Amino acid sequence: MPTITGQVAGQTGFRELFDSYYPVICRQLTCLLGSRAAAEDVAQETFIKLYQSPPREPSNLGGWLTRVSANLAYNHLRSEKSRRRREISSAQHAAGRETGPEEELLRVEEVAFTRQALELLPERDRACLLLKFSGMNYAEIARVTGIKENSVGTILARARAKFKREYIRIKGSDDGVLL
Amino acid sequence: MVSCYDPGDLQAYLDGELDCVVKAELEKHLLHCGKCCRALEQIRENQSFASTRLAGYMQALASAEFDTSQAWRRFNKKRLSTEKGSPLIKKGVLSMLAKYRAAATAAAIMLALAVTFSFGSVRSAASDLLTIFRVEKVRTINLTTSDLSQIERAFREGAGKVDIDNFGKLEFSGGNESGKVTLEEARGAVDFELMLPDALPGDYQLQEVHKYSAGHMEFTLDTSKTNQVLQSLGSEKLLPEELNGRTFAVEAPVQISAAYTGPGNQSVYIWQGRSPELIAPGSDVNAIRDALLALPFLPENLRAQLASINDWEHTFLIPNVGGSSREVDVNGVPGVFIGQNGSEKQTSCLIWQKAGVVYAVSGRVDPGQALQFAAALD
Repeated sequence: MPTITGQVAGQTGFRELFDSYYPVICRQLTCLLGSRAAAEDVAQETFIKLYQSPPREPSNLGGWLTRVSANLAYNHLRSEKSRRRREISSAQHAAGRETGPEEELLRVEEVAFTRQALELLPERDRACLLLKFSGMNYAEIARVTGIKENSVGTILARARAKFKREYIRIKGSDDGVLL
Repeated sequence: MVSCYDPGDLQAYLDGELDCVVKAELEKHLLHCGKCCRALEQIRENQSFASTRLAGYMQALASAEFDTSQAWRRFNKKRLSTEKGSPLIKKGVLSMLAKYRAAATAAAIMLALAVTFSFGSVRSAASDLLTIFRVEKVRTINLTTSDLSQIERAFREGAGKVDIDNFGKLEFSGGNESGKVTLEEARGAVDFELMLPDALPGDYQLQEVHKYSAGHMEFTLDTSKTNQVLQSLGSEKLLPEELNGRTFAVEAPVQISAAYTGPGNQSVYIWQGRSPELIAPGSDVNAIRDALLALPFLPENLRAQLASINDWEHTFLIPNVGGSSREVDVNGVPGVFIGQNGSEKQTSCLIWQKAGVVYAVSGRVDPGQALQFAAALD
């Protein structure tokens, strides 16, 4: 028979967990999916999964949530390719504040360039790059993306090189306008 | 002669994904292949470039407001609809929460010790430049469980794992031998007077004495790697270049542990040993402490407590998670009792420092008993 105190503790406990991890998972997903709305959808799915089939060994809950949400996001990506391209990323919103001191403006620019450079990467390469950044190792990235573990290094090297090239190109073509 | 490596292998090497054998071969190859060295440098540069930009990008996303209450309402609605209206939380989830809390507590204690470990400072007679830090007193700092989640979460967000390899090189020597010894051997192994009575109050009898050999650890800081990690964690305060290549040494002296058995076959352990020593070039430790305090994810209440400790160099900090430890007076010296909440007697520990020796009493005891044992050692 479930005790009342057990239930109260459980309810509070799960809420605490939700409050702690929801924002960070959402941010990772926004990065991956390019849209805040899609990120929240996938984040919700992730926490329902956590609730319905909690991991037996929760000592790395953050890692579990990252892996599961990335898996769900990747499925989402593959079936929502064109829709995502049309949505405005929340990073652009967050970065779009027009007024502010010099540094703020530079920061805002960098974020915009980053987002644009990321958009130019092939989907799989971008996913690898972002998943690595979020802390996954090659084995985990391979599992989520379906890429062979041996190829992850090659894709990462290529993605970062392309990211840098595109970023510099975008920045270069923008510099003239700034003055 | 191994042929040159392709970018994928070099990248995997940088990411620590190669096994020891392949890694060793690659490093050997790098010693004489300028082409691969340059390729590796390029890959490293690209990685650093991308990570820095991505960190800024993530930070911008972070500044967007998050209304978790709305998200929670949405989640709960969905949960209730799939559970056919039952508001009760499943046993599996409750059990997961309990385990998570225990694991998060353990992780946070490790982390708090790594971040806040500090010693009393004694100028070395040999050189003005060397500072040797030793424990002088023990204090608790208070953490809530949401502080722990915040810290754990921030590390998950950062680029790569928080691995000592990301900060520099660590080398150990000694410290892994332990064995049963006689009382005489134990006394001879230390340079202070061992407190090992035959019996402790409550009818506990001395059974066995063990000696843990002295250990030495050297850590050589790599500022560029460390700064990469700090940047990816969103920190704006970085380590100065002068610290690169500096070596910090920790001497962990011989420890003696004595097992006492009492009524109901309960065991109590008495540990004693000289305080560990940190040998660091002068003001370096302060620069590191400043960079650590500037980490943005440190919960405010923790940062405030840490910053408020003026005699930081003299204090050994113990994290007090959710009220599980408290400061006590041990025969006129400040100490810490680390116990668990709950009416059942669980394994707990009393730690204090006197005259340069750190003592600990551990076992299934309550504070009163632990203090009685401590008094018997005086």
